[in-house]
Amino acid sequence: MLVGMALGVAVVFAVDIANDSAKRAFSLSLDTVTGRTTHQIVGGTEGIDESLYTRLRTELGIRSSAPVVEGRLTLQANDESGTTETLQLLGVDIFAEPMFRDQSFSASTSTRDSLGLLQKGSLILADTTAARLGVNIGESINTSNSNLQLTLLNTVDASRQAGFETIAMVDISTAQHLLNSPGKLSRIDLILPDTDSGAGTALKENQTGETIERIQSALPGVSIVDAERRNESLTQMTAAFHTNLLAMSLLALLVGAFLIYNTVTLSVIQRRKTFGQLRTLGIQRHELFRSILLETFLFAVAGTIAGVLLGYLLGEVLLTLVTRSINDLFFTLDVRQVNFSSFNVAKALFIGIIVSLLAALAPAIEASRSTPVTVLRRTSVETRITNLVPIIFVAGLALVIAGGIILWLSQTSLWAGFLAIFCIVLGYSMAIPRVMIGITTISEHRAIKSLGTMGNYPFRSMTASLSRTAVAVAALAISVSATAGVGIMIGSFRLSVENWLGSSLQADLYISSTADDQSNDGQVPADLIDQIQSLPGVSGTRLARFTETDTNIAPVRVMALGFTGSGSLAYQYPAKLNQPTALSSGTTSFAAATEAQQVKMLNTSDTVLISEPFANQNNLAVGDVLNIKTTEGVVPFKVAAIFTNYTTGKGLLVISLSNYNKYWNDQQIDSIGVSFTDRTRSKATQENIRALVQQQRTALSIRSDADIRDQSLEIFDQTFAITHVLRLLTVGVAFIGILSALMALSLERRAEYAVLRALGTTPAELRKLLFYQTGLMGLIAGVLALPLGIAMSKILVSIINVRSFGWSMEYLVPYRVLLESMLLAIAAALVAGLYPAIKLSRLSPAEALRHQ
Amino acid sequence: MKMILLILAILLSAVACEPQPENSGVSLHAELGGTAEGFERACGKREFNFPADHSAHPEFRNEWWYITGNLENTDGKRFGFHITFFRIANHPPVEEVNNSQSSNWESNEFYMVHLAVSEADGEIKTYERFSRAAVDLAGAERQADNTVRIWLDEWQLIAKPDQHQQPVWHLQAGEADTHIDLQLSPTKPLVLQGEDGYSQKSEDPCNASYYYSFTRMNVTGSLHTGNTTHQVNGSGWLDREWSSSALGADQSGWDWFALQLNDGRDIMLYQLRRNDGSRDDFSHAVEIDQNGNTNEISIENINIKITRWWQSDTGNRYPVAGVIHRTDTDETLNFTPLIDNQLLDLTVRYWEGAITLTDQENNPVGRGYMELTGY
Repeated sequence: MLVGMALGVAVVFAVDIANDSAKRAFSLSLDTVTGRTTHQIVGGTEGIDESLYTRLRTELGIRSSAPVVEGRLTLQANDESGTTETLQLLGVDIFAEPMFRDQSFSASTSTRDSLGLLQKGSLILADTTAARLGVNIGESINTSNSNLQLTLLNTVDASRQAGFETIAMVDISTAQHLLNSPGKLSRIDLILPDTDSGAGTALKENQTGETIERIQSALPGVSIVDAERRNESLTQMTAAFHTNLLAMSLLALLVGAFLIYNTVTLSVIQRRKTFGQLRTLGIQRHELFRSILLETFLFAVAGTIAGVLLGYLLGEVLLTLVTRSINDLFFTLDVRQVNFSSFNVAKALFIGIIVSLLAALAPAIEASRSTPVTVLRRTSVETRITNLVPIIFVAGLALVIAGGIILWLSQTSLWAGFLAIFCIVLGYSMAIPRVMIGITTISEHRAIKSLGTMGNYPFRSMTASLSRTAVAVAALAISVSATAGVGIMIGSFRLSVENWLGSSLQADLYISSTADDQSNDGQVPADLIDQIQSLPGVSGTRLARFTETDTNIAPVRVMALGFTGSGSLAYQYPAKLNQPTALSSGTTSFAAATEAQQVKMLNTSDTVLISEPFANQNNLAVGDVLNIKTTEGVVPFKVAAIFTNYTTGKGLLVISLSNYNKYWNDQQIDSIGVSFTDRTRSKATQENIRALVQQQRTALSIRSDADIRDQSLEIFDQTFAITHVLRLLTVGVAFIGILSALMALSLERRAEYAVLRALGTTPAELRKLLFYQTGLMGLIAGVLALPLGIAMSKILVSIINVRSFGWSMEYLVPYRVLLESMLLAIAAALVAGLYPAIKLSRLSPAEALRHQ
Repeated sequence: MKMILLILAILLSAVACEPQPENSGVSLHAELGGTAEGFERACGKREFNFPADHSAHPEFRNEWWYITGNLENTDGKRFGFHITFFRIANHPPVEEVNNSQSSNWESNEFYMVHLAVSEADGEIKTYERFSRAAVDLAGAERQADNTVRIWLDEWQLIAKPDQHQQPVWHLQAGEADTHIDLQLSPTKPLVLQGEDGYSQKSEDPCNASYYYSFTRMNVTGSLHTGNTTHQVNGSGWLDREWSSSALGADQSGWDWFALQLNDGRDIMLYQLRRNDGSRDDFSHAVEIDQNGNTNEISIENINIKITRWWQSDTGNRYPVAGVIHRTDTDETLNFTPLIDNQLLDLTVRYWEGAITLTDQENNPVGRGYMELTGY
């Protein structure tokens, strides 16, 4: 009983705390960088002129402003290993800081640090980061960014400042030196009156608006963005990820609840005789009822506490996986510690205890309502249950339908999507007992033949104790269907990503700068581009330049593409989103045009292609106009097509390189994709390119399309590692569930088996019977799991994923997954049946019958 | 004078007898291990040159522009204000060895400004700002038209010469619901303190500062506090001082008075308290008559008796009221604070506030400002 409860609670608690810890670290990390900033003054790739900041403070007197210079800093460890670590360089003005970043940072730095940081080359790291790099306070450390020697001024306690682990904090002058960007700031952080909280909100909103207007009229051309909104897209992304995880854990809870129900009933049944005796001795019904509930409560407390402890250990493992997924999917996040609040614990305790009590209610009523005589007899319960089956079946069907209606009605709500899934799962499981009766009635006639006289025994015995077996089968079916559903979803997703990578990676070789794309000396040199284009064996190139900017809707990444020779766009355009609209009718739609036409369209007009998640999140369609902020001012671009994209983070826009050159007044290139005339990739051409690249002063990396595809898929697989673990956990919980159900059954049937044995059934035959029965249960669960699994995967792929990530994907049911699920169900049931079967076959008939 | 002691107190607080946990981070120079080395020092008399000397002297380590004043609005309601612009160098100015200055944000000095406004029957509002002296965020500069501007963010103090080449000061500062915009015109000539502006602080002739004052200035302008803007006028006091060296370390604090008497005299008086509670020999008093002539008062002739202490929330007690008795003229001045709590609980904690002066019969005879440190 304890084990069952503990396991159920453990899974929920573990997922809960792993989720919370990752979320906390994420918000800390955002806090460390943006702090309590409400708005930011931002520039384009080039950053903003530092004199804007001086004017902001001395002319406008806007004091709640802080300059920031950001970039990347690569530090070399102070040992022979030669390892390097790349951190986020945060250049701040310590005099402007106190009201910005987290207070705990201010508290952990003294005035000495403040003033010491002003010294050129002074650096503050998290203590853990410093330890990894083998540098002590006061020691110097080398960077590959510059020949400036850095000195570790002080460290920040990473356990108090989790977000600091990936950050190297320096003075703004040091940062400008390291990034070689004198006179430039990355952004200016502002704290404008908080519009979120309580009283005087309207007034504050007014003030904020006024201040923004004041800044804009005094400093024309600056762009002020809401910091919240800037971080929002990132937060939304991870929120969707966390919601998915939470849903998995709730699924585990549902299975866990079945498990608890089974364990509680088991404990009551085991002592049915005792209860009967107690009733004959004059114990009142309500007394018995109370004492059963009290006992359950005590057990629940103990079990839940054990579950929390177990969950904590499990949470540590999960956290590593969650963090890895987030890192792969979104951004660098360094969490080394599981954190949980009393709220997490309270939640787990509440769930564990309430579910146990609810589960105990039915058996407790059952035990206390019956007369002393019937308590000793189980069949009365089963009769009642069998009568209830049709009602439960109808209720279940109603729930499934309700789930469907919710899906239909809710447009974009992710939570509604999950609610619908739960309705469907719960409804489906309620329908299972009726279906089991149906299946057994149909199949018992056939089975009789193959098993001889005892042929129908497994069937009948199963339906005869539906209250026990149906619950076990339902639990197993749900967990197996979840496994199948998620498996199909991941399979479909992986296939989509593979196809997408295959078609996007048209070039054979990719050359890109290894430096941070913000700095100016890291780009691909122009003469290299010319040299490569004129190499024999090169049929075409694709030049790309990346930048980040703002639109009238949200901040975005922009990829500017230019083609020479046979290079082509090679994007996939989801048909649903790219249907010709009234606006584009008459002309060929972009998505339907030939590749050459597409390149031409992109080059000759202010046309933009937008990524699918960006389109979904912002309700954009083909034909809409997007105002994009460029160096030359705001330019309206027409959305020509929406392309498939599975990268996360900000939305991605594609424009032509010629438009980029025109509007951004920038000729730099970040990467070249090279296509070969010969698809077999002549070795000589490759060698020539490598030789050219090695002659360059700037660090460039060369990767083949296969390298990129393999790496991407590897990341994909790592990302879903956590989902696999959760699937297995769910099955684990279900396994325990079916085991306890069988244990309950075998206890109840002791007498029955004893009679069978007394009638001459050998222990081996009895084992065989039981084996058939559990196998049958597994088979039924497996079969029943399949439709549910497929339905679940369909919902996950076409609804949940679109709602949470904005990704649409192909849908594919890999039959292998279905078969695996089926086998998993049968195997789980059979393994669970082993122990009760062995125990029963060793039963002494005389002993067992003596109790009758 | 007083501010060099302030820095000294900061220095002392790190090693001092009384624990000041909340102020543990403020011993700027002690923490920096800063010495006068590399800076110019005040070792003897110098030629003052105005208006150039109203601006900064970066070859010295510390410098300040200190202004206090007593104001009244049109209804006769009293206010006090105090602002100090500090210039503090981390290290001597570096010779530009290589021209490749990679960032304009590099600077060897920073500014700190304290602003306080006290309101009769009200409370004191205090503000503090810091900024590096770079990218024009803070600094002091003399412009072509001989205007001198000292600023940090949008707070600024501008000295413009009038037709007699006397500077007229324009002060603008404020934060949250407190703002001052004041014009200060000297009504007495500039006073060179000490020996012609050379103010020796200890036996070592180089432990000294250059020091001048405008002990009485006519103040007009506006003062905004809470929801009200008051038209105010009154009387102000400006101290200018720069140096590179700190004093010996046996003082525990000081009491400093800037007194403006209704009969036209001004008295500047301070007593240094030694660790053993006695008065330091370097305590000092000077009287400036109606015409700006100075008259040293021997510190032996001054007795100060405390009549009332005020305790702050931090538990520290400050002598906010007392009697100053001059034995040479048998003059008695009772001083009481405009309001008791005029504590500046900033990076450096000290009591600095407007006071009222009365004679033995309790008739008002003047106003002033008092500074109490090391309590």
